[in-house]
Amino acid sequence: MNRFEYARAGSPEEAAALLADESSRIIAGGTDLLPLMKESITSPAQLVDISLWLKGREIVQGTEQLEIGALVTLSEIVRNEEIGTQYTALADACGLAAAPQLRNMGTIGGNLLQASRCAYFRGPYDCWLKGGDTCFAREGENEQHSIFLTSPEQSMCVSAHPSDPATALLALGARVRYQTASSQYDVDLGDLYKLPTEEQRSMTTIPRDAVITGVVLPAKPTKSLYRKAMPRATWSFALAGIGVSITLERGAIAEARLALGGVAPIPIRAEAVEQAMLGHAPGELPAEDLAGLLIQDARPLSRNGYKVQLLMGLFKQVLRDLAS
Amino acid sequence: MTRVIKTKVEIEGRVHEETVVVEEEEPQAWEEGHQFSLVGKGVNRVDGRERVTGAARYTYDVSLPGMLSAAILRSPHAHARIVSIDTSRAAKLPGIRAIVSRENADVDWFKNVAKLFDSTLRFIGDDVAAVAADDLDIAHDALKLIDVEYEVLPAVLTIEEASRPGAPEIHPQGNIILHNGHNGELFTRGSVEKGFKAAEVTVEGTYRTSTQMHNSLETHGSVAMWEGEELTIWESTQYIFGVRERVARALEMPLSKVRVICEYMGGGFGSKGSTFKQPVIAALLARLAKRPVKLMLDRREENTLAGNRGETLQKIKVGATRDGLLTAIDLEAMTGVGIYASWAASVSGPAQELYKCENVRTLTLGVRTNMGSQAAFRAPGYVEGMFALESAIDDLCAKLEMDPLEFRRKNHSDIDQGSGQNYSSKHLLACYDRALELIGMEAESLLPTPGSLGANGPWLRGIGLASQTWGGGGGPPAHALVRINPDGSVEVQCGMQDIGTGTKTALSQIAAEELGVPLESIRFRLGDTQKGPFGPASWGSITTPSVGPAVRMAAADARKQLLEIASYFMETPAPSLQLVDGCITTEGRQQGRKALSEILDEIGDYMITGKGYRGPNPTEPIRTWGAQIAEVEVNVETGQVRVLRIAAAHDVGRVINPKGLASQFYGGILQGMGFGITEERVVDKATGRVLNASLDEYKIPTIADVPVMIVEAIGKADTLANHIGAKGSGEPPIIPTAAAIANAVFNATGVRLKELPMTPRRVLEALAAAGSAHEGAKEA
Repeated sequence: MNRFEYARAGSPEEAAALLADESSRIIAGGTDLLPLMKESITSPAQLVDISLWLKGREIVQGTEQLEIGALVTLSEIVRNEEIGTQYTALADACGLAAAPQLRNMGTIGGNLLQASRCAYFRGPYDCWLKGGDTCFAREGENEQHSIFLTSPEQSMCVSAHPSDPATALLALGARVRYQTASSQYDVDLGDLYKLPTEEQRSMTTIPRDAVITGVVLPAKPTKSLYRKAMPRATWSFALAGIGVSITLERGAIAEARLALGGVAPIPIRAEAVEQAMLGHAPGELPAEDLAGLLIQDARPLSRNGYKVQLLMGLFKQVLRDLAS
Repeated sequence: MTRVIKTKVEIEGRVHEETVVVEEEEPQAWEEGHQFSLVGKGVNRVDGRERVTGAARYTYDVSLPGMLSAAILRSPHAHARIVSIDTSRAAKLPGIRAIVSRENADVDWFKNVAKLFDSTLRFIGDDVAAVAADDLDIAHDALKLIDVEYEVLPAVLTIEEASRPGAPEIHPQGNIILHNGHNGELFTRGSVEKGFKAAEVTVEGTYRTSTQMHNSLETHGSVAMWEGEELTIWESTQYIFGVRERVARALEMPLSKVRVICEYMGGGFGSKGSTFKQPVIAALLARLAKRPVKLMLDRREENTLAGNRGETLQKIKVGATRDGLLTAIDLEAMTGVGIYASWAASVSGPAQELYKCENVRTLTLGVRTNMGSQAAFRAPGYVEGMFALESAIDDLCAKLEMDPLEFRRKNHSDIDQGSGQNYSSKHLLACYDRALELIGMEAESLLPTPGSLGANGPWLRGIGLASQTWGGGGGPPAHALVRINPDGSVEVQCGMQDIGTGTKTALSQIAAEELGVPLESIRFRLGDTQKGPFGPASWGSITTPSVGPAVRMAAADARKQLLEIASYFMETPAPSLQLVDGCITTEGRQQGRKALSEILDEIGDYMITGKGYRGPNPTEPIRTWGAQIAEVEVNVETGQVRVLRIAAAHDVGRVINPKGLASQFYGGILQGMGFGITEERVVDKATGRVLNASLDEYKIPTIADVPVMIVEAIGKADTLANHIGAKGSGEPPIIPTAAAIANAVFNATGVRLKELPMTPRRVLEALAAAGSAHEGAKEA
């Protein structure tokens, strides 16, 4: 790990100002940043600790929405009763993420910005995402990588997005607030992510000098949930994760949002499936047809064809749980 | 009178002859039914308090005045030659105290193959240079300042590639380990050609297992300190005397000047049985810097170069008559040994020993690759071999439509087929019966009838059985001393180590039992080559059966001396005196009872010293046996495997501490489960780098994966094996687990998984292949 300066910021404004220094990085829970520093994947000259910004640790229930401060930890989300009953998908996702110690430290803001888990990105490889010429995973060990958006025209990087909460929040139609030294922003969570490009080798759109301040959940859906397939019972990134939220009118699905994680470089929505779900009662969804629709654009890599099958299986589980 | 005799000792599947120095007569055996006060009672660890409070000092905890931290520069290439190396920039870094490399350290390491710092580097992680600095950050900074020019050589990364004719030669002694001048080790009994001719039903299959990494919680590492010409090494090791010998040889020092200490250690599982380079490198740096040096591996190093269970590729064919009598077993196994290991794991052991079969042929090839060397890993070879054998037998049972348990009863061998002798003891049939009782299911349900046990949505349930055979008899040499202090407190000394298995506790029970004193008055001293006579390595499930008898004999010797002394003061013939609960009494009388300390008080500062050794083995082969039944659920839509319950019944002789035994069983089962469903080393095929060397990437089972485990030892004393009647139990429980799970997966789905671990990818691929084969069959 490199030597670095340490600064504390009592507010997002202060933090954003300190980020003017190009080699500064925000630290909150540190559960992703510190391992990246230990492996010298990132070597900031200054860490700006935002964890003392108390307002960032609040969950505020409004009339039409719920705002979660960026510093709220995943465990706090799991323990929050409103989120558990109204935005079940998020509680599910936070509960299934990582392990207890990591959930106790990791914040929702940091979770949304976590880096790729690809072993080539994390290892001593000059990979494309880090500015190199090659995606080593494309021809190498890609068992846990993406099955969607994998053509080089779509994304040179084929790593799979690791955040469970991001997938759940995408299904819930959440918005993200962030702040730079000069202004505040409020964007759809879906717009926080983009496929990396030759010029911008990053999966997020947030400016380097911005600080996430909170996540805003809109009016609650009738039902939402998040399910995840892992290689062991816990403490694993998703082989696939599915978040879904539905709003019912007279027993039929009037609105549906379906999001997928762990299968593409960024969290993605399955809009064709969402459309096809409309008008059905949750117990009467045509599972086989929808599963077929879900995977129609899948383009697996050399070693992860199984993920297509796995995603369909997980999706059927989601439909069963949605109906129950 | 001192005599020298020869005896056979089995360790990790290999029998060798050991010379043993025999002194006094050994005690009479503790026969079945012997009335014990402590042996066989479940007691807590005698050092549990130190361990849970943090008072226990592990190598990682050793901190000495002026101690430096060391780090190693490692090869970034799987195969390369050092053209030049320049450490001058690193040497100028403030805080750097010593640097060693081939330039200033010419030490032989792998005989005729490689030096400690060799010019040829044969895997990613091979040692290039080492530095000692005021702190670890400075040491790591210095590594970046060492300039090395490499000439990259062709590397071979898989066993298939390495064993192919014409593959690049990556090792001076060839890519395949030679055995009597031939590639691999051939074993034959009878004639498999004849056996297959007699077979009415045959089954064959190609099985693969992946490289499993030990992941001991404490990594390998050393602290070295010089005092004049004397060297003390603190080492996380399974064999303090082994480290002493290796370090002394490397540094050309007399054994008497090297002392090795390992008071507590955080796991080894076989990987710390052999000595790695760290203690020697730490000693070289400490000598240069004239200060103590600590050199612990980090997790990535641990999982790159500190040993593993090598991958295997096994082609097995078995044949039987229509009524289920085995006629032939043929196995060709390749096992990856990494680059420097000079032995192949005993993958063929189960095929040779488990079943009664007149015609057996096995060929075991140990194949070298440009990857980190294997190290023994809890029943090396047997875990892998049992998976292939028991899977093939399960297939055979399915084809014969014969209950797997009935098959095993039919093909049970009462005698050792190699020697034609009886075993010292064998209760395998009782293990099958007991495992079935423990799981609480009918024998019939072991038959592969997919889905018959029901389903929970896409989760299909199944159960499977597998067997265990292994050595674990132990043998000489092992020695112990029992000293009784003037205050009646007792010290037992043995130059061995407790690798976390509860050695101290079980051996203290034996000493207290034999002496007739409470467990609390025993202080067991181990883990220091200077404090106690020779103790063996903690491997091969040999500890209790090797050291236990020596400790008992030393205690018996001390008791005898004590009673002779007491006889003088109590005016009673020694044979009528007894030592019970720390008091000396005359047989049959309550009066005249004297506490131990009263007698000792009479003789002043004299310290009674009892000596004991481990005597020779009987001519009968000693083996452990067992059976496990797994109950699993397989999600046929996502490929996930969930282990619900494991019932385990093992014949490991007399149980000294049931609590310690249960934790051995639990640990073995969980490691076996990891091998079966989650754990595999992932290697980048372009570079030879381990891609999942950290604990979050490499998936050992978590507490949330732990199934219900119902474990039991049959517990019958084996007094032919040794006079305490115990066999070893460290390795037996890991051996059948993966095989039992694989058979349960077959039972649930009707699909045979031939490759471990059974990850979602492999399960879904196997289901898809079986499905399309099924479709194909329908179309045809």
